[in-house]
Amino acid sequence: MTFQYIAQHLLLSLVPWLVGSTLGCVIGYGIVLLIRTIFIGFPRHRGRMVFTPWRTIIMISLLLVYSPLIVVWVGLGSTATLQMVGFFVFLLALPIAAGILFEKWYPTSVVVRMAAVARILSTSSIVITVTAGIYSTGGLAPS
Amino acid sequence: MIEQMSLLEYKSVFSTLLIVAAITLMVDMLFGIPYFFLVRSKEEESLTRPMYQ
Repeated sequence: MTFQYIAQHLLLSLVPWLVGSTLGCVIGYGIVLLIRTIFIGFPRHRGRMVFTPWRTIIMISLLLVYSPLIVVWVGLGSTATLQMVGFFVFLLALPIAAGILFEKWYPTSVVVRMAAVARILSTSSIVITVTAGIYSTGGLAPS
Repeated sequence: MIEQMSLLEYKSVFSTLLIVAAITLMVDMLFGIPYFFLVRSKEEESLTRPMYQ
């Protein structure tokens, strides 16, 4: 029973990791190549690219993973778990791969990097408030 | 068995997501303004820095 449980856990975590991280890295690489082409063609627009709402898109997509939509579409069970974990890993792998490549081609200072992380955490705290406040603790419920 | 969601429940889920997306986007853009000026100042600093440093 225990071995079966461990094997199932490994299957449900490693298969989505492989698929999600591979897809995320490949698509992230493609997006960075596209953005690099835009930067080369229009170098003046580089500064304005900081307003690209990729953080919001990633965070809201992560929230979509925790909404009941996947379970309603697929049903309860291993398939829903595989899809949830795979989608989650894909959404994390995409900006990580893109960030590594960006840092290689356009290195930034420590202050800029720290400010970027603070900006990511500010958007993620809103999403965490929704998941923790509504689903886990009920602190966000209207009085 | 999970019952199929009604149109009203779909609307409820998507309206919650839309509200959260709007708040997240607002905070993202709000923090984007000082970040933009920080990136610009650091870029100018790196361009004016002598090559030997």
